[in-house]
Amino acid sequence: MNVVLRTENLTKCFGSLVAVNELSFEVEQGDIMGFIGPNGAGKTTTIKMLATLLKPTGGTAYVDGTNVLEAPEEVRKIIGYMPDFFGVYDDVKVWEYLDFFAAAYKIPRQKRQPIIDDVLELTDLSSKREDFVESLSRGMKQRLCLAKTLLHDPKVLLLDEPASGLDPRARIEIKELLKELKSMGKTILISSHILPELEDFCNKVAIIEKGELIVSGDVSLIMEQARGGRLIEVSLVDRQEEASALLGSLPGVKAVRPEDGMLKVQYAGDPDRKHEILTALVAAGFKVQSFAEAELDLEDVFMKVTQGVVA
Amino acid sequence: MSTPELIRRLTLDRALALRYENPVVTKELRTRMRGAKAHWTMLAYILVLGICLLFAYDEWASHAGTYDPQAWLQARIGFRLFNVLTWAQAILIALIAPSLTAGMITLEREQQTIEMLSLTTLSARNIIAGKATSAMLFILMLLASSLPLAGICLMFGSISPAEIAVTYLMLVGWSFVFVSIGTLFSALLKRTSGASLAAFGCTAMYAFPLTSVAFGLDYAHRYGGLPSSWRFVFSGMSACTAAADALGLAPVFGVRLPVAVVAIAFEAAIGVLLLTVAASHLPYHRAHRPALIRSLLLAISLVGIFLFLGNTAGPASPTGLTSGRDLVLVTFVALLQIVTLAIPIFSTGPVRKTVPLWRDLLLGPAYRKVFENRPPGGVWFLALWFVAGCGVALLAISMLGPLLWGPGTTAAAVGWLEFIECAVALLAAIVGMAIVGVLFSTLASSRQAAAALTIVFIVVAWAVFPIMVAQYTSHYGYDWRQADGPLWQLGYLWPGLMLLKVGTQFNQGVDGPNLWLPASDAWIGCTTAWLAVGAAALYAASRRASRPGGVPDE
Repeated sequence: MNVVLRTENLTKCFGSLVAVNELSFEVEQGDIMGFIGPNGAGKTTTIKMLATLLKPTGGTAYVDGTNVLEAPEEVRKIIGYMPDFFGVYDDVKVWEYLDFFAAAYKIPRQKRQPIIDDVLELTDLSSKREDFVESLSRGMKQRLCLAKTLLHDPKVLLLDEPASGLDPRARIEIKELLKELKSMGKTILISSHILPELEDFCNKVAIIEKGELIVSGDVSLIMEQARGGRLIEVSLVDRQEEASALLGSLPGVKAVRPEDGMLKVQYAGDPDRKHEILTALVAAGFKVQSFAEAELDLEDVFMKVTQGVVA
Repeated sequence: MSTPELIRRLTLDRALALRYENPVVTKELRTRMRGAKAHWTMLAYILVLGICLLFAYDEWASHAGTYDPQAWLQARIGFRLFNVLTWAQAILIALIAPSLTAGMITLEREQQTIEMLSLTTLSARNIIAGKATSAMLFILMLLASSLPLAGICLMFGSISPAEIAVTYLMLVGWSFVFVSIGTLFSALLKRTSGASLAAFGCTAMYAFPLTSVAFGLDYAHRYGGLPSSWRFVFSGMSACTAAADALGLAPVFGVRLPVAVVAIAFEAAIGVLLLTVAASHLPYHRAHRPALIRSLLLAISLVGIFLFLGNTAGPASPTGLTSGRDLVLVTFVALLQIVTLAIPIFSTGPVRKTVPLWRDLLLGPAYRKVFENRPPGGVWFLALWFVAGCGVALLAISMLGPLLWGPGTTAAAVGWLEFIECAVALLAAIVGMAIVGVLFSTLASSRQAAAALTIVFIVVAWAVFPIMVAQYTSHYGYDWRQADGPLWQLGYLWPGLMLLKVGTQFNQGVDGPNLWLPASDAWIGCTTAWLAVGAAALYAASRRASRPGGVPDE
């Protein structure tokens, strides 16, 4: 797989404030990278540097092999950038808005109409073609902005909080749209501070905190690392303390703690021998009501990897 | 491909220019012309003009006591009405053009649309050209809507279609300057309110002096006995008096130049210059064109000085500027004004941190430095500007010599050696002030602060010596020309000394204080003093530049 986005020690300072500190990560073609961090972590600054809108103080970045510092004009042709806050022109109809940007991307006049039709269809705005842009709802504006971003068929999409400030319905619509884009094979870098938004369709994740990259890579790998093995939840009818003592003595079990009336077992042993725990419990006569491996979500991972940094 | 097809492809499409498309123009016109707003503006515009014409006609008729058509031609009523129409249009345009353009880029910033616009493949030039074109098209529409009123004036007689046509062209040139001013400030400043204020201020600073000169001359032509054979070469640059100046010819070195052509050429050059500066200040774009900007600036100012000298000092000029010394003095005053005003702009900015500053300033090819958008390059450019200005003045004066004093007498009348001596001293002063500007660029934390400090320094350099003179005279009751002593040698740092030298020969103790050097060597003192200031400033700046701080890059 070839690397489409690469940053090398990307740094940005505003006066004495270090907004982004020596950030290095890679995104491969077709990846959907979730860019996660609390507000003010430096997500927008990083995306703006990738979009050639901000000049890095140090380091550099490459988009499809092109240096953002040396050839920003070339980079602008292959990226589609959607800012977190953006405005729309007054007195402009939806199709005129798209026609303006299509022309601004030097798309020939004959080709513009079909392309506009396509992006309107994709973003489900075909019925709003003749409406004025400022009359659209926030969610529709967001989709229109995404439609605009897609006009020149960019290889890479840089989406800065595309779902922020949207109601649940609009949020789901944007999510569906992003899944559609994923299936079209676009490489997407999407930032958010709301994790459930991302976990369905990101295959890569980069977590950033106070301008520093904490972890980046495959979602599954990071989850594995973060949990330091597997977590097994066991629920018993009674004799929890005794069971806890037994579990602690079993091979592969790192820790046992009671929580919510259940025992949470940290298991770092061979995944194929997980059943031996259950066998041991049943053999000792414990009344096991349920025995299951717990699913970790991105939120847990995030909380885990950012521990200590945030506090 | 058949021949007719080839011809059609080559001519029709090209001629109609329908293939050219600037999306910014399309979008701006779409929104500007949508709804009734634009039509109301047009209606108001024509109504104001119509009311002006009605009042003008009624004013004449009630004074003349007659509405008799026979009296129209005699009183040149057609010309009078068209003159009023032109004045009214020129003033309205000066009000409309800045308000149309001052928000063009600032609104993109305020509405947060500029980022997305900048990421398209449109270049900074495309964007600025598109914005300016759309504003010009709107003004052209207003001008076109007033044509029927011009037609009414034409029917009164005493004004020709050619005069009307040329006047309209001059109004177009006039509008172009204001559209460019508005666009420039819209690109330079962050807020629409600030940009509007600056655009209106600059428009007024441009329009008032030009118009008062042009109006005064127009008045003097008509009632003051100023010979119509002499016209001010730049009087066409105010469109207010365009009706009177439309077909006027100005003598320049004995050649008669059409005032309207000079005006439109200068307005086009000024407009292009301002728009180029605007494009190089558009956020998120790399469109710095220092070479183009500086070349245009040189061309406009040098051609301006050349035409001005040939016009106001040439034969038949009513200004009485005929002595060689006066010509040199006028040249220096004009050049110093222009170049000194430019020092804070060109000598300040971010200095390179990778090379020692003195090396950046002194070593390497000068021709390349002149057009480099950094303070050291600015110092070279300012020096080039002054030297080129002196060269142009030299050329102009030697062309005027035979016309004014007869062949072969120019050298005696002017005193070339003194001209060159004073020019060297003033060049040293300009370079010294510019290097002080560079020093401030390494000290101040922003370009504005560096420029402000430089302005203060220049003012001090010009003012300290005259203040000392005034102090001496008022406190001690002495004749300041008798003053001597070490402190008074500060006079060598006063650039005015060289002007005094040119203007009065500067007799030691008669026209000025007792300086250490004899009057004929005053230029050496002045040059040495300013070179010392420059060297000291360069030393300090080089030391300061090697440490962090100073005007930041972008």
